Amino acid sequence: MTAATLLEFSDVHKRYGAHHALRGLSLSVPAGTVGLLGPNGAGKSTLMKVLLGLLPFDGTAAVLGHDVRAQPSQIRARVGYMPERDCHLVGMSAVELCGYAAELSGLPPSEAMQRAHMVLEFVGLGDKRYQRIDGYSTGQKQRVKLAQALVHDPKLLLLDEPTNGLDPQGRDEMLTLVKSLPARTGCSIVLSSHLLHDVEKVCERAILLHEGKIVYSGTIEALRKEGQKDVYELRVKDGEDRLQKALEQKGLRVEREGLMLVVQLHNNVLRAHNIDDARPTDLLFAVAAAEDVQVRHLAPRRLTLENAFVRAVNEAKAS
Amino acid sequence: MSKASATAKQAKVVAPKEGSILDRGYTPYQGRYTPEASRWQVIASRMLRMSARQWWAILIMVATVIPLLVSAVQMWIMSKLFAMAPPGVAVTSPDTYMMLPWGTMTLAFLIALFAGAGQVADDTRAGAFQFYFARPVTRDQYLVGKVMPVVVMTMFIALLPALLLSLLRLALLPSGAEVVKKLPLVGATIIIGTVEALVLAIPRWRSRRCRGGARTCRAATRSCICCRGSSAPSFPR
Repeated sequence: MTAATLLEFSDVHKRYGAHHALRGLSLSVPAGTVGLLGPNGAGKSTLMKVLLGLLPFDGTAAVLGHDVRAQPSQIRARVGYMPERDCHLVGMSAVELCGYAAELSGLPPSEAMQRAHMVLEFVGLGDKRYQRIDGYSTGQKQRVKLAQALVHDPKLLLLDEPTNGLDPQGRDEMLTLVKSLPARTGCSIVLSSHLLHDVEKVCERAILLHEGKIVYSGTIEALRKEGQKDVYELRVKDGEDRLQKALEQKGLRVEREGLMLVVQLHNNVLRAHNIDDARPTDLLFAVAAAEDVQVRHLAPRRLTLENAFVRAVNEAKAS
Repeated sequence: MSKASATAKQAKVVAPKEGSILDRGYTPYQGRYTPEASRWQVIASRMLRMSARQWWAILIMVATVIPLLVSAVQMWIMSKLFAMAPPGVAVTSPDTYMMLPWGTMTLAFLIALFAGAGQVADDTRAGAFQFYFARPVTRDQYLVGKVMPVVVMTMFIALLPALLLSLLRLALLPSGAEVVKKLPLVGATIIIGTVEALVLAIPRWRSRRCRGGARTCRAATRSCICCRGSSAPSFPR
């Protein structure tokens, strides 16, 4: 494990009775901003708790170079955790909660209180810091959760669904703040979300989880590229069905999205028809001309993260 | 455009929107850290401060102090004006045992009940285990930190008034030799008061069979936090 490795886990399993929540996860993640993506129940929150040493598990895992089983205290001292559910203590104000969190993380009382004031200002709750948290709005509670995770100056922030319950404006502000954290605090971020937009906005890398398995791990850019390689969008004037049939007869995979045809060009198909790899669309034009169909639009497919995610999940299911 | 109006316009442009998240600076922490073994003290002192703010705590404290004052004044009057020896000054006297935990049993029971009963249950309800155990705090530190305030508050009720009354009894004795002779009174007070406090405080933390199997939890929580390593979830989901 190198110094720049953020997380490293090998053959991690976690069961809740009969439910197998994590199924043999193995991965090494470098420092930076990492999105943990997956539908509800994919195992994102469980993985976060496993990394913090809060849940027993099978396999080996290390965070920031520390073994999760042998050195949980060292990990927790360097990691800030923003849980998905509310975690405020009854009857406390925001400044008390953050000060308490800092003291529990090992800061002396006076420094803890200074940091509590600073992080609450930092997340935009400076003027509400003396109010009891019980009376806060959902957005304010989310900010308090972020503040308590940041208060001891962690090296890694684990954010579990940080935009839960926020309105669009609040969500945007939260994501902007989270995105700026690595540059301003020097920490790495693991952001768990089922909202692809959140991860796309904040993270450089993504780990896609589905039913407790990793279906993709790497940069978001690579995920998009991987999904869109040799895939073209084709729109024609009438004759979509005819053209689809003709293309499929040539051995190409064609999917319909409304009036759009999405065609995947395989190298072996191109070679079979003596088409130059550098000009793969020649085959499409040739088939369209043969079928007497007018091409209105032909362009490489630009995959959104949603498409890429669905594709990765479908591929995992198929395999 | 005048200088004043230009400044006002500029201020209007940069004025922050209410409620928006703004960067007001972030400073990395470079100070020292407290020893990990002392985290239970952080929990205990916080719980003590939170409990001391509650109306029931204030009421019970007042109810403890008033009889103490009345008893002290009565003892002083009897001793100074009527030259009578303070009651219960002999360790073996039945009066000693009557007077030591003087009327505090009920109050100590009440404070143990109020202070102890909700500590872990409130944390379970509020999801605060995630708050505590995501930090370098062990289960033992958490439990000691939660038990200690109950013990301290119960001792404040059960021991402190009895101890003060014992000291007053000794102070009202006519000679120093007699004070030395009666010193075991203080020891007896401390022992009886402490035992009373512990008997009342500790049952708040009765054992409960762990969902994980053979082990036994030390806290009566709905979600077991003592069975890490077993197949059962050790942390509330």
